Amino acid sequence: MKIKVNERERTVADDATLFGLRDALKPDADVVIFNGAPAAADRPLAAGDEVVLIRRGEIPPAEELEALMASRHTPGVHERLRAAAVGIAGLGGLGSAIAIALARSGVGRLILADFDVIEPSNLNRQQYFVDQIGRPKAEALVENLRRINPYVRCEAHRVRLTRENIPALFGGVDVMVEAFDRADQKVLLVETFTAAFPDTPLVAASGLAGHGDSNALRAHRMGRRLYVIGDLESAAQPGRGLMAPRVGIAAHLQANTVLRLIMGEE
Amino acid sequence: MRISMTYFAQIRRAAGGDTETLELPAGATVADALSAAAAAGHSADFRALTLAPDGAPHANLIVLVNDQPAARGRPAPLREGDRVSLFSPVAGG
Repeated sequence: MKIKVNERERTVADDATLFGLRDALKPDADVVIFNGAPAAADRPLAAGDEVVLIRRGEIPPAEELEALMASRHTPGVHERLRAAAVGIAGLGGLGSAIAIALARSGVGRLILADFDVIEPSNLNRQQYFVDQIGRPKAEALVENLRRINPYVRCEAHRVRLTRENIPALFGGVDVMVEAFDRADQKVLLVETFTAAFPDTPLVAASGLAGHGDSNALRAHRMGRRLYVIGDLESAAQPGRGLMAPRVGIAAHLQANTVLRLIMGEE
Repeated sequence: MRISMTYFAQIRRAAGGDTETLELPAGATVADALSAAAAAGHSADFRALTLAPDGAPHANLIVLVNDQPAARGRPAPLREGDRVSLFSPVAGG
């Protein structure tokens, strides 16, 4: 009969049992998941059962981890995402969350750029940890991404982006993401990238500060290849700070727009 | 020549509407279109959002010509029927 072991189909004997399977395939597994729940006792297996064998702390090989992560994706999506390259300019509240969402989604290659270091005030919304304060964001984010998926291909640049270096750093990406904080930097990225790569889609953000209506945040198509996510008006300013929920919503709207563009659905 | 203007977010509010049509002399540039729009009776906010003190396009302004962002200081003149869109991103990320 056919069952699934670590998301891969496998043929086993009709009288196979759960722990017998573990002993045969991965005797050092200390966690056995049977049809979605940890199993404490042995039991007979039936056709179609799904078993995941885990040794705590062990990093699965690339192929297996990919199969495990992709198992929740719609068939056909994973291959498209794995073949894609996405550039992210700015690794603050937006960029760090976008990178994590795209890495978890299986995007094959991420080109990341930020000149900044992590400050304590960043931790209210940015995807870093207290023991990373003072470190360059470009370096710390790659470390965090590797803890999610050590096989994701990341190219991180600790550099201040300029009109001169943007085309060289982000040439060849399938989708570009603007994730800066300052308005003039947003303009710089949009103008420079689209002048160099007029046919590559660019997903920017504007208007996401405070704790206003979540539903006011949405994707606006502003040009042929320019998408702007946000409510377009809520600027970060004294009395209206940047907070994790709304920044996170905007970041994930950007990330989902990136996935839709890679899938050819925008 | 006639140019159509489209405004987003705060610029739309400052202009009092989404779109308008401007009549400009042949050879007019993006900066000329911005000056003409600012002189067309909009609030002072419109000028403040779109033009720098020296009359150049504001540093925080994204200008799209026919749905494609225009490079800063785009010297090429506009053409009859061009669509110019203006958007000022706000800080936060």
